[in-house]
Amino acid sequence: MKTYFGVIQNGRSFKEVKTRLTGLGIKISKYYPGLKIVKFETEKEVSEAKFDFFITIEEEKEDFFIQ
Amino acid sequence: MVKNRYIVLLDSQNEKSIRNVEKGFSVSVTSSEYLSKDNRSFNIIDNNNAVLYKNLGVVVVDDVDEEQLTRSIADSKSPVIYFEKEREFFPADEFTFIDDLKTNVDQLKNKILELENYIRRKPIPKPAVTDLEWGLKAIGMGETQFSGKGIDVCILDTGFDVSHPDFVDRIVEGKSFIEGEDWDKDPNGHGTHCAGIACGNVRNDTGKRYGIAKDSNLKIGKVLSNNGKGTTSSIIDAIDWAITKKFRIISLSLASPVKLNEKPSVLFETVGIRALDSNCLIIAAAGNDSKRPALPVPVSAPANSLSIMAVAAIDNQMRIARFSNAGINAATGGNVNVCAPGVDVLSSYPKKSGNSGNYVLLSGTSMATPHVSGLAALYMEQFPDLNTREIWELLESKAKPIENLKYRDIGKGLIQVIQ
Repeated sequence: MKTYFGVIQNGRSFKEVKTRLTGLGIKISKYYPGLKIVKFETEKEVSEAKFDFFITIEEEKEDFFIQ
Repeated sequence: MVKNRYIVLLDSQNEKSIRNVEKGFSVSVTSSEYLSKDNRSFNIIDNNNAVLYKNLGVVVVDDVDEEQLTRSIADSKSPVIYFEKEREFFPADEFTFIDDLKTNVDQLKNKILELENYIRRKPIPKPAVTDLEWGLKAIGMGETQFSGKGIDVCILDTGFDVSHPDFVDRIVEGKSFIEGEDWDKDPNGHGTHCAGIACGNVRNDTGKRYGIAKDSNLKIGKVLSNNGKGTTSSIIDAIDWAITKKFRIISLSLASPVKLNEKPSVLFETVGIRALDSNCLIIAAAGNDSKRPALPVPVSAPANSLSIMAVAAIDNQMRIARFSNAGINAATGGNVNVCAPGVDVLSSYPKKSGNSGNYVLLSGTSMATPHVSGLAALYMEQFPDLNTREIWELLESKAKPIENLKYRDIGKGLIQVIQ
């Protein structure tokens, strides 16, 4: 299972995004209202064409370190 | 009763009025038309009489009661409408002026002596005893009275040692975004060091100042584990928390390396924009992956996002730190915006094995970043009407270029306080 972050397009509501993701069989892990970003997990391949309500989808990174 | 010579103005010079004056003031009035070489006015006046100057409607009279004259003005039956004491006039002689000047100079001399004695006796104010760490001197901290009062500064890092003696009296708010680890402890020490630079004050042993925004409101988000590692989730979680709490500054002394020509993350670019839209400024370390002078590498993520301020590090000789990343992915984003002190920076640190004191020297763009965050808090206090984008512009426009250092390495230059 991979974790992704989707940045909701301006003008789209979280409710709409939730409905679309549910329709794709994806459960939302967390919604960040201050940032209008959705975190979700899926084993399926993620293509931006299917997720046209996001500005971008990025996979979780685990390589942030103290500098 | 005071008697002098008076100039008395009459509203009428008819016989009745003159008799009124003669009777009221017990004088004999002689008209000026009868004055002659043998009948001088001063002789008449000196003999308790008065002279009437008909063309002027004025009587000059000696030795009368001033209170009686005052009452006469108020009396509607009296012809007296005004009076004043006779004045003395002197010739405008040059030597008189010189004498007057000499007198004035003597008086002034005395005043100056008096003032001089007062100043000499005044206690001498003690010189300021607070010495500053080199980084604070470099950004001009000695020239400002601002302290970040009332500004919420959020440090997203390894946590914070709330038991540190310099902070035991401070109210610190925090939250952990790392499962099973607390925000108010900092076994790593990195977060406590960064928080000290941005929001600390003076050392409790020497009194030397190492922190910038000493009166700001310190907020802590633990986004890096005790071994100094974090994920997109922990960082995004914490930034969302900070924006929801309306914190004004988020300081990120963390980074993820990027490759040459790698495009910045749209996710973090959007996060930076949405933070700015919420009046919150995100400031991040440019990264420590360079091996200068041979191998400078690109600014890391998330500092490489255009909406997040990227901070490079310099040393106390105004040289770029050998590890500090550079704006070499300029075509795709990833410039350095400003630089700040980041080599051998002293700040607060938890007491633990291997470190017996409360302070250590550390180097990194991690140390440069909280210098900018602290200064941003001072700007926000100093210019409360400016929004966050304007504060960003001000930080860049007031930064000082450093001779022989490139824009690629230090952006607009070394950040400076505004006097």
